[in-house]
Amino acid sequence: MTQFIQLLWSGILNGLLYAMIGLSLVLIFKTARILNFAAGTMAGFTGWFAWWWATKGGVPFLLAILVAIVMVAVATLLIERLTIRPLINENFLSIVTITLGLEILIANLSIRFFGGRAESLRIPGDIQFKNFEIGGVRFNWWHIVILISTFIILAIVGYIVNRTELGLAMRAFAEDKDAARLMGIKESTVSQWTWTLSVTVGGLAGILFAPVLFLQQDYMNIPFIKGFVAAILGGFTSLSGGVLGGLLLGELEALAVKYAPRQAAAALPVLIVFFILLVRPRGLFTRAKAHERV
Amino acid sequence: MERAGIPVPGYIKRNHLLGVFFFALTFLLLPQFDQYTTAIGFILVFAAVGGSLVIAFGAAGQFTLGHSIFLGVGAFLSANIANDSYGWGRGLEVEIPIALAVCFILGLIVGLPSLRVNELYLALATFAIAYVGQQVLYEWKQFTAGGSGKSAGDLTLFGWEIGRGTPYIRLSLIILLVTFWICGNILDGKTGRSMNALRTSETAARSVGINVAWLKILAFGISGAITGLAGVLYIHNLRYAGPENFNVHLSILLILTLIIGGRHRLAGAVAGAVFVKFLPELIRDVQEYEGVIYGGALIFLTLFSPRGIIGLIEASLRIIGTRLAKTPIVKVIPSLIPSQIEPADRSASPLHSPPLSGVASSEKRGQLTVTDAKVIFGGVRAVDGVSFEVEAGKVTGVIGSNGAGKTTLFNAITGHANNAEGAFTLDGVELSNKPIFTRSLAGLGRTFQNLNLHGDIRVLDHALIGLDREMEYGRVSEAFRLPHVVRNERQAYERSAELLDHMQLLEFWNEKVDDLPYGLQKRVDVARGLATNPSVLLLDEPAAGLPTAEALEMMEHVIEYAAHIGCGVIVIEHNVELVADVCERVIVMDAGKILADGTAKSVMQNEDVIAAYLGT
Repeated sequence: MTQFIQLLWSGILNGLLYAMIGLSLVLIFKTARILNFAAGTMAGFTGWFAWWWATKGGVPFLLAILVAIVMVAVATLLIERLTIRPLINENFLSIVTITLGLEILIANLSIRFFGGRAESLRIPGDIQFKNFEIGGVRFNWWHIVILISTFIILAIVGYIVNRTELGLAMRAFAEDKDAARLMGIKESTVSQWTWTLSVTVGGLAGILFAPVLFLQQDYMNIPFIKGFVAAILGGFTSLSGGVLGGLLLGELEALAVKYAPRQAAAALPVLIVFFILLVRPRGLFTRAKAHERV
Repeated sequence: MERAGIPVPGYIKRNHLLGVFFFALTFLLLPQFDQYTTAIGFILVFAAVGGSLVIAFGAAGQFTLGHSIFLGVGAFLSANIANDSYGWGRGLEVEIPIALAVCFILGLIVGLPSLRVNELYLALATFAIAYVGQQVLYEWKQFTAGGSGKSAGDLTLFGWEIGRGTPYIRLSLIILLVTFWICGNILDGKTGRSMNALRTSETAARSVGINVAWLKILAFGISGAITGLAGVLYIHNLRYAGPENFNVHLSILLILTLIIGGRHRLAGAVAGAVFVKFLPELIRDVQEYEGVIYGGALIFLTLFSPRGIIGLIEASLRIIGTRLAKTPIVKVIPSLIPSQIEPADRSASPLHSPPLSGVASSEKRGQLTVTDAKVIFGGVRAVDGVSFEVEAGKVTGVIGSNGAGKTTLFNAITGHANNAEGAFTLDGVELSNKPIFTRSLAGLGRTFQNLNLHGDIRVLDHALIGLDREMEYGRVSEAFRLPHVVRNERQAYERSAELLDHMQLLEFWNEKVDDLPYGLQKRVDVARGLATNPSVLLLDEPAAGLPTAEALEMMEHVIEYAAHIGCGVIVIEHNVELVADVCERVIVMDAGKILADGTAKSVMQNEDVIAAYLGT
């Protein structure tokens, strides 16, 4: 029994990672109808950046995180302004190509700046190595930190999207772009803040999970693909769907590793994608619309 | 046709000559670049895949991230055959057909998701397929030897041994040339046109009789097959391949080749391949920044030249061309290849043009029977039990206020309304519940309220698309541009030119419809409908936005042509004057039902009609 709970817990942990990446992807897709192929790389870059500030920059841990996040957010504003905004009315393909270009560029920059070797992010008190037990189930302190932080982050994003004017603008944009513009909502504003929010969420995920995944080249690539699947599960247009999808994927994965043949477990994300695309393209957590065709 | 300067379809085009020129150049200069042969081999592989993607992606618009799997399958098939693992024979003459056949079928299967999902999800689905494909290749030890990969033995062709380096590259060049020739033939024929039609407007493509579903799958099949062939070239170039090579990253690189190079031209495949494979060589000194340069170039190109490198080149040539045209130089140098276009003089074409050959029909067609048509969704009864019968060859008008259900009625008849009920027959053929393209092939033609034109395609092609159904050649013949293909194409071009002339569009034959003013666009929509040689043509507000005189003139041309080919016309219009002028019979709709039905005069004097629609 304890083993099972241990399994479920590890599923939740991974699920949170996928949920955050999924959320980051859905945020952009919902408002701008684009796929951000660079999401994983940007998240990884942020993680590395935080590490850099903490070690080479000699900045205290929490401050390093803050500095990294802020600088990445500012950089995102710039990137959005220079590369995404000009194409704001172009088709899906052009912008996806730009994000692909960004992915290649940032991945390379990452190696250039941070070196190609694996590093580890040192946390004050080394709590990523400290465990405790409840009823025979082992928990790690850093994992608890992740759990709490993720909830806070999701709560903040939820608040922004549902309770602020910016969030309202974003949702209006997602519903009907032209009507929103006619109502006086500036497309450029929505675009830049959506991107910033999305990349920040991804960046926080990159930092939080750096001790778990270990800082190496492209360490956020596989989480990116999993986050993708999470977003698909959620239907790509539902924020909470993306989060739930991530958690679901995490759990399914944990169960598959334990109970399913090795090949099936490895192919799980893809099997899920097939299943969704064939059976329920709008995702598990989206309500059907009368006129929408996937 | 010569009057407007439309080039006559033939066997050789200017591009062919250019291609052969570069081929010959490369062929002859190859020995000088001995140390680059592997890199050049890669460029050829990528160019071949790029060529196939011009068909699947450039023409048919299918954004696929899954092509690495075809490359892999082709490569391993080739290796196994070359090592005589199957006992079918060893040489290239065995490898190529088998790779083509297997990958064609694989392509048809991989193409299935394209039927259900749109752009974004297709990208995802193919992404997933590439991922799974690679896993499968890893696990299938018999086929690929898992992590250790396979190496191809010596290359033979019909028993002759082909050495490494220059001889092999020369052979690859020849294979690429033939492949490009075939791709070009496909793009120039009905298949290419239909694919471009479905890319730019699926709705309209269906309405001219294109089987969109099959064509999408076929696009994957054809491009999969050619990519499989490229896989054969791949493994013989490198002499080794392992499953780790055929990953998603490669897939992305393959489609990038076309995005960078220019997706609508085969030359784009070459330009893209050179960029993708040569750039790393060029920046070898700054290799640490390869990603930065690469990603940067990608971003730059997308921002400033959506049509890729070739688009940049063509745009520059156009600018140079127009500048040159203004100088005296052009008058001195005669053009060597007679394929330049001179726009026709703006001479008024007579209202009654000479009879058109080949399509005239004294037999009247188009008896349409609508029985209890209903379109109900939510609580809305858009069409609520409409029944009528239209005689063959007659011109009928449908009028009514907005929201009366006129366009929805059309949608029910043509199949564009998903949830329509009722029975529809055309000249005795049952149409109900059949897919849109089947109804179109049965003789149902239509135009659209919002045009649904094929944006970046020429006016001439809009007419050709309509005529494609009458082309009497198969796709295999098309690939090899056999004589009867050329004959059919010539006929189609001539008939299209005649039709355009009749609709006074001939001088604009080479314009992209997006560049035309609204009035002309409306005429193109009608021309496309007429080109399908329908039994009955459904016109949806053809005069909307046009001044009455122009609208009247267009309608007279249309009805004259319709009478000539013996088809009936049903026209939805708000311009009551126009309707009264051209229609023998008028049906008035209101709130989903028929309010009145009779001659124009009687209907206009009907009290209910005046109350509901006409006013005093």
